[in-house]
Amino acid sequence: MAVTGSDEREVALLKAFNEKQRGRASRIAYNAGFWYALTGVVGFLLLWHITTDVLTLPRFNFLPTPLDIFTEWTSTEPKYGVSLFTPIYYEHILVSVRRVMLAFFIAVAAGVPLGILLGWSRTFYNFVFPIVELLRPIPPLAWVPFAVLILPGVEASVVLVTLLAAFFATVLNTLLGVWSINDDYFRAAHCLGYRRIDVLTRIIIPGAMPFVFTGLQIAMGVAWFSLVGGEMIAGRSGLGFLIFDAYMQVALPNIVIGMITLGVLGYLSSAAIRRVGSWLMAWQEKGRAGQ
Amino acid sequence: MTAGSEKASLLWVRWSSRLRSPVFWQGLLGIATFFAVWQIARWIGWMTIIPSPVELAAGIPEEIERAGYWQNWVDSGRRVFTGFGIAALLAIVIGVAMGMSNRLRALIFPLFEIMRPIPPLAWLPLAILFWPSSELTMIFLTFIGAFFPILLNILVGIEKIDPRYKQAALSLGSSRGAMFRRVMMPGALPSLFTGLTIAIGITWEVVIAAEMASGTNGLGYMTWDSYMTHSMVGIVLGMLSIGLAGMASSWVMRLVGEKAMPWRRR
Repeated sequence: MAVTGSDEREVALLKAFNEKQRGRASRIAYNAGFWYALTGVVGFLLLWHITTDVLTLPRFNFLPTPLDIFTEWTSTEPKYGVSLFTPIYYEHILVSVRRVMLAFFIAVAAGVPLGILLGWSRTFYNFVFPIVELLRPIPPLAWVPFAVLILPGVEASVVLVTLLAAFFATVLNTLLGVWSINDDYFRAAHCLGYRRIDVLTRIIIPGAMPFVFTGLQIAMGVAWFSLVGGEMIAGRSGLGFLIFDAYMQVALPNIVIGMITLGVLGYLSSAAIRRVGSWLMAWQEKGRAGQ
Repeated sequence: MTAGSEKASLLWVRWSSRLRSPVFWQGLLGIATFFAVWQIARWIGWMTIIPSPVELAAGIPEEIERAGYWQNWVDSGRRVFTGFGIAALLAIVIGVAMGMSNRLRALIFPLFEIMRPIPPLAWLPLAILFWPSSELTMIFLTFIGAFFPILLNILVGIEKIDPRYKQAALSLGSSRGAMFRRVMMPGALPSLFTGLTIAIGITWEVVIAAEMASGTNGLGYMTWDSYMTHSMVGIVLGMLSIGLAGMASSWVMRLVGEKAMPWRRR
């Protein structure tokens, strides 16, 4: 007993030591990584500044300069009307976010059940999947003229265009998720006399979850992507419209302000989905750690 | 027996077995139901703006015969493949360099991560300002759309290579060149082709929007022009053509992938 006790202590000590080493190493690596990253970003900004502001190279002189953008963005009285301190900026953000959220939730509410059904019933799959495959290759933005003609109002068409790509991404990934479930689970369920409905609720739905969340992340990305296109081509408000309008009015800094805002929002929304996903699937993480 | 006839007989076997399987007929029935519902909806008097399948079938040949239809395919295709080609080349060079040097990766990867979430279409105004012609603008946009997914997938591919392969290569005294040719390249290829397939889909999407917003020809412009002239048949034909073009491109990508990775062919 004493021997095992000391062994255990030794193992614990070794573990702690290793962890300490690894922790220190990763901290250093992290810091070095941080400095490299900073160098890269600052280098890029400098290059941008030099080409547009200092040297004003041909063609580059048409681009907004980083300093102009910064002063415009943080000014309380912006020259072109959009900055951190103007309500119109937040209105554009709000409109775009609302459209994306609406489109995303419709796409998920329709796409996840459809994907699950496709994976659950072979017959349903045989009948319906060819239709999905028929419509899926058409890029969402090709729907813009069609949507504008058949739907009343710009709002509905922008939302439709935004949700299409998200819908197909959700359906496909949910289906893949069902297919990725280990066959042994189905065999075990049959042996234990599960009804079909039990197979659905106890195996298919939890089993497909990891892929569903991958699908949701992709869906969020493509939703933002199509939203910008829809707003540029057909919108009267929102960030895509802000960018294109800024181009029309030659309000150059606003173009980049819109781009960066879109980037940040896109990043935040996929980060939020990742967060929710890992929270909902804590059991999976635990399972992995236990292996 | 020559290889050609063998292939033909194989094709025949595959098709005849497909025709005999219920799956094929169920799928056909599903699609037929889709069109039937659409047609019946028109008869009842719903969705009067959308032409019925019968009207489409009657109207589309006429639209196709119109001068310049096939030229639109060529124009859009040229833009897609030029932008895509440049993106693939640059992404492969940068990706491999980043995969082989941790320092370079630490330097530029965060910068790319900051730029990646910006939707490709948001670059359109800047691109119009910067590039002297609309042709170059659209090529640049397709480039932006394709570059990030390809780069990201190459990096993932290189990262996923089993470190034991690298260690084995190193302990067998492999040079940097051999490491690249024998370990990195075959290891990253599957992931690279995933990236290329994703990217070709995105480039079609981007080129359509760019043509709608600022083009004067191409399939996207054709669709937009049909919208302007309220030709619903033209719009649907445009959508179908774009879908087909995208499908054909992904199919080509898959074919090239199978050729490049014979060990993965099923």
